[in-house]
Amino acid sequence: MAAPVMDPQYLKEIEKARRDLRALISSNQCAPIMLRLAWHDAGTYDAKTKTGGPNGSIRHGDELQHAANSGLKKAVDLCEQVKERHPQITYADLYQLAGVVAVEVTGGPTIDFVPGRKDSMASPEEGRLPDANRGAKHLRDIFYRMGLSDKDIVALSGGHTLGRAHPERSGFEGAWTKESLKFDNSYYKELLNNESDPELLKLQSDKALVEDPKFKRYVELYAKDEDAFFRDYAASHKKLSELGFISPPSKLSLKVALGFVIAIVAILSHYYEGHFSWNDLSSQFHKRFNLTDLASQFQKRM
Amino acid sequence: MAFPVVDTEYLKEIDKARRDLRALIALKNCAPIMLRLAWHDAGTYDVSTKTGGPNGSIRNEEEFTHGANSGLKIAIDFCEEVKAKHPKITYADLYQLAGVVAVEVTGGPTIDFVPGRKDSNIFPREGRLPDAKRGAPHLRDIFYRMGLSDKDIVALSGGHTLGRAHPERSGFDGPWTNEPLKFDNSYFLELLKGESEGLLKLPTDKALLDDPEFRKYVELYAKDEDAFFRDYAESHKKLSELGFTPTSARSKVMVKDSTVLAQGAVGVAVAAAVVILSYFYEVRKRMK
Repeated sequence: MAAPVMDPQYLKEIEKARRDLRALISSNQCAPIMLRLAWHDAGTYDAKTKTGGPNGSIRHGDELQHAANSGLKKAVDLCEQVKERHPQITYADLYQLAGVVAVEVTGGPTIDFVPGRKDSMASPEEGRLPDANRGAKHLRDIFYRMGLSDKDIVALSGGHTLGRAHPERSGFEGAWTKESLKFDNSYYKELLNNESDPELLKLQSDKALVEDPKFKRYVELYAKDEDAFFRDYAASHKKLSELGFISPPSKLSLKVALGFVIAIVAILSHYYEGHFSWNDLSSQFHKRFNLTDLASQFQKRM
Repeated sequence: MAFPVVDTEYLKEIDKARRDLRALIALKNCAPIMLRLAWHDAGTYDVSTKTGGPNGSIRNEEEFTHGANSGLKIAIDFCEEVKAKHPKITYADLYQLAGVVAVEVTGGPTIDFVPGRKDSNIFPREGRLPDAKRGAPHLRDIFYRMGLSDKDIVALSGGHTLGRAHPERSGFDGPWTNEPLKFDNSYFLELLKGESEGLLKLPTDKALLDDPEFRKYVELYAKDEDAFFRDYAESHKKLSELGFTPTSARSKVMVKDSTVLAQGAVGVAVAAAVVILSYFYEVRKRMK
């Protein structure tokens, strides 16, 4: 596992690459395919075997030619323009930075980006990314394998607010929302709308989000409250972009740490009660600082 | 018109408008004209009479039909889409925010943006913006009148890294650089290179080379993009705040936030309790 990088030179290059990506993505209007590139590089993660994940492996011929990655060569080539100007930064960081910038320039939330991912030559086997023709159980299989949750599944699906499907790529066609270059919560509104424009796309895996009751709760929340969607999306996108890179503190480990701290404090205060009395402390304090004397001196001076 | 109250609600709207502007500008590839709108609203400032400046007055027909503003109705209409979604924010803030976002999405530096400008319907007379056909003395007349400096003049001219001139608008034609949607220092590199096929150099651009004071900055920015970005961000911020006092002190004063008051009250109560309790503790000790 790589570690977050503190080298100032590297961080400067990242900032310059970020600016280059903003210009590139805006002028080429390619935010959707850049987001998909970042997602498909990261989404191969297997939490048990610690293989796959955001490591730039997607640029290699084998992986790029997986059916699920059809069309992504365009994004890889665009990123190459930025890599040329900033050769120091890893492809793994570059692709995740591109994903973050894609969300930003289309009006989405600001996603925290931590650099330091290492590149890998090892490509995972085909089949780790979700199949659009499947349902809720399949989505859980795929995302739980990565170490993500139900909330992550629904929030990340909101990425379909951007872009469209292409017959020559996935075989599907069309955009999910009316403004496919604007990042907002309209994906969820369309999902819940039985009378949405028939031209708009709804994959089987999209419909699964309203058919499954647990998923549906989140769909309804995000359709109603765009701020909640942006907040959860930013958290889930960050998690996805850091799979296998930074392990998020699990709830269990936080509880253990807190319990440990409380135990230490309890033991120490017991020790101090026995060997050290508060009365001693306060009488020493009053020997040094006689407050009533001080007060009367102060009054005399005034 | 009154100053807007810059409370948490207003700041939230500004953030949302910022995101909407990013999406709009990226979608329509209209960063150059948005930057020009912000510049032309602000650039009418007269520091001695304190008139003009970034106050949204450019949205009035009398002002946007000035010769210098030819074509800007497009940008005004784009901004209207964002204003419709966030009616609370002033046009003055909206146009300056659009300028800041235009620089950001084209790869330029991050410019600090402080909201709180008020709108005005008083529009200045024509002639306060620079004439492209003139030279260095004219540039100094115009910019010194705003309260800006030689460094500001050269740094801000770097805004020509974006966009192009149009025959039906200014009468001139073409972009200044090979990538008119990328914010970088190529404007200065091209200036020093001399005549280039298909690229524009206005008389006012060439004036930056002919004048020795200006030329110093042109050479610095051509050589050092970081220096250009740093000075540009500073000058752009200055321009966007002409006649506006956005000191953090003022915005603190304007924040009539109930949570801030509540926190202050709690702090005072705690301090008072500590003082009173220690007094009583002392008194009891004395009585023993």
